[in-house]
Amino acid sequence: MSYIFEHINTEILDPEVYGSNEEITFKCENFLYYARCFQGILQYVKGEDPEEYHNWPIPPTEAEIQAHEDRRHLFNQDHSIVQDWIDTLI
Amino acid sequence: MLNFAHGAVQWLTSQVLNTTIPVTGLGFTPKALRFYWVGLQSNSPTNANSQAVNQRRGVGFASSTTSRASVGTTSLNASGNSDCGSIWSNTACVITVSAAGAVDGLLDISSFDTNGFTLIVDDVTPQNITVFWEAWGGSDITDVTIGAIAEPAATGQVFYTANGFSITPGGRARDCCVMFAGVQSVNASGVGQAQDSGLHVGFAAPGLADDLPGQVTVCGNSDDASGTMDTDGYNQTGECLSMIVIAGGNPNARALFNVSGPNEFFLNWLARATTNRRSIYMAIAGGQWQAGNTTIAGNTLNSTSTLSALPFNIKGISLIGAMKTQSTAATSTVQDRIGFGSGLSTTSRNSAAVLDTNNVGASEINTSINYSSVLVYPSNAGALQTAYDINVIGANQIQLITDTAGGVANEWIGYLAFGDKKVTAGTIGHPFIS
Repeated sequence: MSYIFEHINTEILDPEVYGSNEEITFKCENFLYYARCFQGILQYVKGEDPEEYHNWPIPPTEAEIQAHEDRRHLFNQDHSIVQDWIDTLI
Repeated sequence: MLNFAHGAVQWLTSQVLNTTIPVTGLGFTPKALRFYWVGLQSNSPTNANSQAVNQRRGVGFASSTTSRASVGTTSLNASGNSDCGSIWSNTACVITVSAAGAVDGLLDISSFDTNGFTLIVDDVTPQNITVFWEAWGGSDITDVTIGAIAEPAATGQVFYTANGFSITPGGRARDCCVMFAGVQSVNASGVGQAQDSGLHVGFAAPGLADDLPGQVTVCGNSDDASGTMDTDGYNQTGECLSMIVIAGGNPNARALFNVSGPNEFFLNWLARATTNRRSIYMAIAGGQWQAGNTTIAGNTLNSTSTLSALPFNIKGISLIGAMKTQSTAATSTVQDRIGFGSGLSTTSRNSAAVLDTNNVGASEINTSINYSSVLVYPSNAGALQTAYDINVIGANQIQLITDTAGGVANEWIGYLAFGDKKVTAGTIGHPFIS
């Protein structure tokens, strides 16, 4: 399965304290995700609260919420999916 | 001589900023303090169980007014989507965090006293919390080091300061222990995160009976912002540090402990995934320590488990558990459930535990605190599920007993036992007996 990532923005967070951290916000299947990186290497992906669906006020269906949660698990257990995409941004 | 005492303080919303909380009657000046809490409050000796408070759990250490550290997590109760926070600090010994990731409660050390210690409120607690404490002192303890651990960017060995640690000429480490705790946050001290509620707790000690260090770890995590509660845990002997992957699943940080040379120990990181994820430790040099695990039939009333032939005169014990059998290495099991306990006699024991229930629609936080058990767990309905007590404590042994049989068969319990060096029997006045 492949995912279409829409890049929202890139924010550098307090590099003096954290070293070289980046947080990349991206949209996938109308849910927002936040990819925390350390020197360009993905550390974890946080998912948007399903109650804050990006297409609000159109609420997500239960199937979409379940798919969102499955995707968050997958992104965190197999970093290569998001990492490969991040590498294309650099 | 190694001294040990334990007890609880009541941290209340009515205690305004700068309120001091003295703890007295220890009979010695503590050199090392460890704290643990789950978010529930009840005055001693009244035991309590609940499904009505938020999880606010954590572990803290202190060895002076300037050397302390703590980790804290929250997981809100009755929340439609899981709502969690994570934080650590090197300027407080007890800390709480909101689900938005803001620090919202702080206790610090005001003073170490002749007969105890004094805490001070640096940030008023958002809910009433019983904070359990353990204190070690005495001439046997020569150094206490409190430090922070940032999860490394690669697997392999990383070295950490532990003043007073040593290796004998035979290559064997002696007379020391390290206590661990950690969270999911990767932020700087005092800066929280709206993040999974992962917490790990561990003990390690080189041991005196063999050359292999004993070590145990337990961790639990609730996936933040999950529509259906997704909670996992992991408990393992032979590892001292572990953490569940963010968003839930198997542990993706795991580390082994060993003493590497003077004034240091190392962790061999078997797995890591999140650079700068934070842990804290307290390394105690001197005293007699043994870390490991025992098992008990938690589902059978009055079943017992005995730690025997300890190579020292036992003064007390600290326990951790998850009301589970031991995990398969590197594999989590469902339910975020962590229990803490401490005891020094058949009538002096404290315990606390929290269960963040898996696979329910709205979050269910179940908590217990208990002044008549050395380990306790709540049910998934906020009642007492199971309890363990000290049945026997002797010169070199301790026996646990199942007092409420709600646990599981072959239930894993991690321990850190400690005491004085054995004194050879002899006649006072003999030239070799002082």
